[in-house]
Parts: sequence; structure tokens; C-alpha cells
Amino acid sequence: MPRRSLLLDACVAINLAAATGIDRIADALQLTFIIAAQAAAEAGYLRDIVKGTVVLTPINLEQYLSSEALEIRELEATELALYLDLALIVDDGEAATIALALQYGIDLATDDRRARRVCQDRRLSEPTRTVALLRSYAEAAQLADDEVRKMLVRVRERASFLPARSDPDLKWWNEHIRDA
Amino acid sequence: MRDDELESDVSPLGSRLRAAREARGLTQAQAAAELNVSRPLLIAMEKGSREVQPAELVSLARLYGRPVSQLLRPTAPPVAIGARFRAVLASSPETDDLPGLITRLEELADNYLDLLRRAGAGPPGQYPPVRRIDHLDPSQAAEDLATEERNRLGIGDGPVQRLREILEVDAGLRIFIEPLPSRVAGLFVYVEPLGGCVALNARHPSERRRWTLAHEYAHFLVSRERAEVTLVAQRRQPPETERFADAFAANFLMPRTGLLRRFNELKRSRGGQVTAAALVQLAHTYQVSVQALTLRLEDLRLVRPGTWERLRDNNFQPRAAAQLLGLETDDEQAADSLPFHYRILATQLYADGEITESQLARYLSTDIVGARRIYQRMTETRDVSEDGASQIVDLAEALG
Repeated sequence: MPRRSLLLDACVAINLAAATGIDRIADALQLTFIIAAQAAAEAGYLRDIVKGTVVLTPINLEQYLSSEALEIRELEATELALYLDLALIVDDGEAATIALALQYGIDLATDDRRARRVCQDRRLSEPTRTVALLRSYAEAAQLADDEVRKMLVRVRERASFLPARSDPDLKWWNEHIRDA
Repeated sequence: MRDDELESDVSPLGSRLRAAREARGLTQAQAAAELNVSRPLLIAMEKGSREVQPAELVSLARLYGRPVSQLLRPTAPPVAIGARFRAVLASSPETDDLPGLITRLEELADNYLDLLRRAGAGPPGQYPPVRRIDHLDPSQAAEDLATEERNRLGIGDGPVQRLREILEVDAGLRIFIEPLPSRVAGLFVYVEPLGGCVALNARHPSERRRWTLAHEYAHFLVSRERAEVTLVAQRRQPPETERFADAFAANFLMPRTGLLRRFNELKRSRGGQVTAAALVQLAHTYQVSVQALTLRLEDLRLVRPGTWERLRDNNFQPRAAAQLLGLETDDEQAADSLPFHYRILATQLYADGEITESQLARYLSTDIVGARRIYQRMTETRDVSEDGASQIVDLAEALG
């Protein structure tokens, strides 16, 4: 069965990289993640504690390219006008991601409030969020509660991610990360 | 007609393309060759007389190392900063490596103006009129103006604990802390509509930065039309404007009446003796270097002339002495390279969903995770919730 495609913005890609690695999540959910080249360039670093000091760990998305887990996509010449139209409102990475979603009708994952509003304005289907992806992964991989907690703590600590109050899976996140 | 006078006739995109090219150090011919277009075509794009095609804009952004979203901002960039510094750089052979820093200052100013535009706000602060000090004794004029400014800002005659915040919020300076060459203490430039901008050297200790800040503030008060590059090692006979700015810094940071009172209290508490430890303690109170404090006390004839020279000749180590006395410097503000108001604007716009997380990161000159950490630090209160965790303020919540 072919894998379903899901576009990630830089923010979600960072969170998945912090959680457990993008390939594991993609394989468990039978997804191929697509990330626009502009968004990939914004991924930056995770923060890890080594001997009590915060160190920057580069997010190397290219390591996943040989598998079916991830594809980094460049915009075609015909997509550039749409991309520039969106770049008037959001930054380059979100603009390229939303342009690809509009052009190819691919579902999109973003937690970003501004980006979600642009998607709504452009009549894209509601984007999925980091916590929904992690929850689906935890269920598909049948992770024990302790493993889920450790994964969420990694996202919180390494990526400094906190779900929005409006996140439908906030309760699940809070229940699993409690006491950490 | 000078090139910068043409800017008002050029489209924002055209002037941004030109500014980005110049910041990259490329001539029109070089950029045209890289882009595989003719030079007249590139000139027409920069003038706005020929529309830039999407593929061309993407290629230009890549060539200049700029995000396309930045090139598409609806206002022209603040190129006046570079123009104002050009004259200073031309007359100072010691400042060869500054053009890159001036480009950086232009970029930060551009970001600040863009944040203000997005927030529909104006820059904070009430500017006093420019003071003329021609034909006045620099020392006396500096002391009078420092006293006047302290009164205007309501900071009495004691040590100024939050100097940067006061000069940013109440006086309206835009203060950036950037790594500058070690021999450069700071830069000052006044540019409309942003106002007075100061860059302090992140590589210098916080006491030195405070001195430089007060020094640049003096330039802002008396000669804001002139851009300044302040070097650490002044010439043997510094110009009058520099002597005035240094005298202002001394009086502003260590006002005569307050310093005299504290010095006498300290002397009394030590049985009339003035020791090196007393100087270290007093310098710590005023958050200035021991050298700056001792020279000020010499000026006020509270210690013997030559005291600092004697201390230095005896290999006196102020930092080691401060550590020995448990007087560590509070370097909290060192980490914040961007102005307080700038960071608040960016944080609030993100909280309101007006900018994306990666835009926040770009404004804060960091990556996305770095921006998240700054956002959380800025919205975390010192209060704790019932379960003992730090509370996070919801900046987007309506308060009535």
C-alpha cells in the first residue's frame, strides 16, 4: 500500500526530530513527510544538556532522505508566483509549505497560529498538529505510558515545544507528561 | 543629486534589492552577471521601472542571502544609517572592519521598523530638544546636563540600577548589544523615524558597556545629527565632543552629591580609611569599573591624584578583588542583544498570531527553538501556580 503524503512546516519537523526521529514516526504511520526546501533551511538546532551545559544539536533532515520517510521538495517555476504571494504574509518556509499544499492538495501539519489562519483563508483542510501526530504514533507503535512520557519530555526539553491551549490533544499531552 | 536622494522615488522592492546587493558587496555588473541578465535590466529592477519576475526575485534573494519575505516588505529599508556613517568611516582609518556592522545595524533597524508597522505602533520615548554646548566649558556643561537629565528621568542622585531599560523606555534610545571589534566601544546614529540607535560591544564587560551607553547618550543629547564611532583607546588629546561625552558619562553614572554621600558613609564605616576593597565595593554599587570610579573620585578630590595609577602599578586586579569580596557582576542584560521594547513587540505579535514562529525567530536573530525559549522566558512570571510550576502568561488573553 503506498504511503500517504503529509507536508510538515519547520516547526512540526523540529518537534518530530526531537521526539524520536522523523523516520520512526513516518514508518509507524505509513507516511511520507514532505518538507519544502525553504522550511528545511529553517530547522536550526535542538537544545541538549551535556554535562550540565546546553549544547546545540543540528537537525539533520538530509539523513532521512534515503528512506521513504522524508522528501525535501523545491518549488517549480510555476509555483513561484503563488509562493511570493504568500511570502507577503508569512515567512519563506511557511509560504513555500502552504504553496505546495495548495498546488498539490497535500495535507499539511503545522501548529503555527498564523499559518493555520492563512490555510483557513485559502480554504485548505484543517492542518494536523504535532501532538496529534505524536499521539497517533504512540498508538501505532503501542508505546507504554512511560515511553510516551519520555518522548513528550524530549519534545518539551529539546525543542522547547508547548502545545497551544486550543490544541484538541492538550489533555492527552498533559496526562502523559504529568510529574515529569 | 546623490544616490540616496533618489530613494524616495524608488519602489520599496527596488530600494530593498539595491540595499541587499550593496550589503552583499556586489556591483550592479556582478549581480547582473550572476543573474544572467543585462546590467541595464538589473538597474531597471532596482529603480522599479521594470517589474521583477518571480523567478528573478527568488534568484536575487538567494544571491543576496536574504529571505524573499524581507525583500517584499512594503516599506523602503533604512539606508540612511549607512549614509550617515559613510562620512565617519572615510575620516577614520581605524574603522576598516565596521561596514559589516553598519549593515547589521541597518538590518536590525529595518526589523524594528517592520515590527512597529505590524503592531501599528510608534517608537517609545520622549526626546528632549538638542542641547547646544558650543563655547561652554565641557566639564561644567556635562555636569549640568547630567543633573538635568537625571531630574527629567526621575532617577535622583543614586546609582542607576536599570540604565538600559530607562534609556530605552523613558529616553527612547534603541540599544543593541552586538559583538564589535574589541577596540570599538560603541556606535551611535540618529535616523528617522526610528530615532537614536546605539550599538554596544557585547565583548566588553557590562560596566564598560554602561559607560559607553552613557557616553553615547551624551552624543544623542547634544549632536544627534552626527553618527559616532567610539573607540576604546582615545587619542592623547581627544576632541572636545569626546571629552564632553566622557564627562557626561561620569556625572550621569556617578553624580557628585550621591557619590560624595556614599563615599563618606563608606569611609566612616571603615574608621576613616579608604582601602582598595572600599573602592571595589563602591564601584560595584555604581556598576562601573574600579578605574572609572577611582578616576571620578580623583576628579572630585575625594582621593589623592594618581591613586588609580598607583593601584595599577601595584598590579591591582579589580575583577579578582571583586570575586574575593563576593561582588559578582550582574550580567543579566548581556544576553539580551535586542532592545527590550523590540523584544516585547515581537513577542506580542507572535502571541496575537500576527507573525509566525519562524518570523519571530528571524526578528529575534535566532533559530526556531531559540525563539521558543525566549518567548517562554518573556511570558513566564516569577509567580508559581498551586502545583509549584512557573506560571506562563497568556499574552493574547483580553484583559477587559
